[in-house]
Amino acid sequence: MSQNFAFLDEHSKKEIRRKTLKAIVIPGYQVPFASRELPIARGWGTGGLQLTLSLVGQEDVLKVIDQGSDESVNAVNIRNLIQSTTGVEETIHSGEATLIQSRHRIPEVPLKPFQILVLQVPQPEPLRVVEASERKTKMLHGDKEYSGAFIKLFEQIMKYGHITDDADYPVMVNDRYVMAPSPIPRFDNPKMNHNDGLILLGAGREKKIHAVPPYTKVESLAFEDYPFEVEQFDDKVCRESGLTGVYMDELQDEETGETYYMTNDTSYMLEKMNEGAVNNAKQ
Amino acid sequence: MNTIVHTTQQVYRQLVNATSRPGHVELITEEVKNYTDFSNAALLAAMTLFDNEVTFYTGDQTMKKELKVLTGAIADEDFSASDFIVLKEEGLKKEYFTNVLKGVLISPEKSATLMIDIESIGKGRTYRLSGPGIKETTDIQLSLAEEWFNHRNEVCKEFPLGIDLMMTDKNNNLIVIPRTTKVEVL
Repeated sequence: MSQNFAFLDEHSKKEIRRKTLKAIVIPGYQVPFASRELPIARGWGTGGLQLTLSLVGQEDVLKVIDQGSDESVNAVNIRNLIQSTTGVEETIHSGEATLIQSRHRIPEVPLKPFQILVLQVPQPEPLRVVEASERKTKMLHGDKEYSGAFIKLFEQIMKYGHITDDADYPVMVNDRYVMAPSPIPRFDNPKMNHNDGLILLGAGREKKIHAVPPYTKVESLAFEDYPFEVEQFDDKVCRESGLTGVYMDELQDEETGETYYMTNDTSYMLEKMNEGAVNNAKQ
Repeated sequence: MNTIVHTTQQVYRQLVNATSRPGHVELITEEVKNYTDFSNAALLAAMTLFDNEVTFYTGDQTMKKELKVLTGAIADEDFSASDFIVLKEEGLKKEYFTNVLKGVLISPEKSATLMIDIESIGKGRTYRLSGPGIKETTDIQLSLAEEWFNHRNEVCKEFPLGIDLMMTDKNNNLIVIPRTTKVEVL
C-alpha cells in the first residue's frame, strides 16, 4: 500500500505548519487550525500527533511518552503510526530525541536547544470553566481580561483553603496570554519558564495550536499571599531506584497493601539505574 | 530519496528553528529549479508555506508566475489584504509595513508575513535583538536599512498585533524576526 510520508497529505501539513509558525510568533495564543481526520479518535492525542507529523523528517529521532511512560498503549500506538509512515529512528532517552511527543508530562531531563517537545492538549482554553462561549473567551484574551482565571483560583482558596488545580495549572506566557499548559502536573510548570527547547501544544478536538518558544517567561498564576507551589516529594523515595526530588506516582502494593512511590518518568529512572549499575560494577 | 515532500519538511524545520530563535541564521541548502531573481532560500520558504488557501503579493512578475504555478497560491493585486508579501530589499516601500494586515485583537494571527530577499545577512548594519526565543541578546548584521525597522517597530508596537519578517539573502541564509522581538540599532 502506498502511503504519504508522515501520513498526512501535503496540504494538511502546510496548513498546520503555517498555523504553528503563527503560534510561535504569538507565544501562548491559541491559533485555530483545521485539525484533520486521523486513524485515531479526536481527544486521543490527535493535536499532538498532527504537530509531530507536520514536523517529522527522515533525520529525526523520536520519543513518545504517555504520563512519563514510553510503553503505555497510547504512546506505543502513536509511535507505531509515526514510525510506520516515516521510518524514523525511535528512542526512549529524552537526551537523544530530536522530537518528543508527550501526554501530560515534561520529561525530567531538561530540553536542549533545538529539541522540540510536542504536548497533547485536551482543553486549550483556560477560561472555559468560567466562560462557555468561544467568541467571548477570544474577546477576553484580546482584552487581556483574566479576572475569571484568578477568580477560579480564588474560589478554590475560599472553599478548600488552598488552590486545588493539580494538573493543567494556568500560566501567564510572556506577560500577555494566560495559557493552559495541558494537564502536566504543577511540578512541570516551572520547567517551561526560560527553557532551552521549543514547546508546541496541539489540541486536536478543540482545533487549536499554541506554543512556548525557548527563553520565554512563563509564570504560574498565583496570589501574593497564596504563592504558587509545586507538588512536594521531599520525604519520598522511589522504591525501584532510590531517586528523590523527581515527580512520583503513589502506588499500592497489592499483596501487603502498603503505599509506595515510584518515579513517574520511567526512561529517566532506567537511565539513572543503569548509571548506578555501571558505577557499582566499577567499584 | 529526496522529493519535494522531504525538501519542504527540511525547510519547514529550519523555519521553525529560525522563528523560535529570532536572529538565529539557518542556511538553506536544498536544491530547487529557480527561474526567478530571488534566492533559492526565498523561493523554497514560499514553496514550503504556500498553497491554494494562501494569498500573496509580489511586485515581481516572474516570481508571481512561479509561485502561482508551483504552489497554487492566489496572487493579490493589492497588498493590503495579503497573507504573505514577497519582496526584494530594493523594492521596499513604507506601505508594505504600514498598510498591511496586522491582525485584530481577537485574531492576531490574521496578519501579514513579509518575506524579504535582502542583499546580505551577516554583513551591514548591526542590530541588537531581544525578546522571546533569545537568551539575552543576539546581535545580527543586515544590509537592510534602519528606516525599514523603524516602520516595522511602529506597526509592532501594540503586541499581539503586528507583522513578522522572514528574511533571506543571496547566499541562502534565512532569519526570522517575529513581532515579539525588540530590535535596536547599534
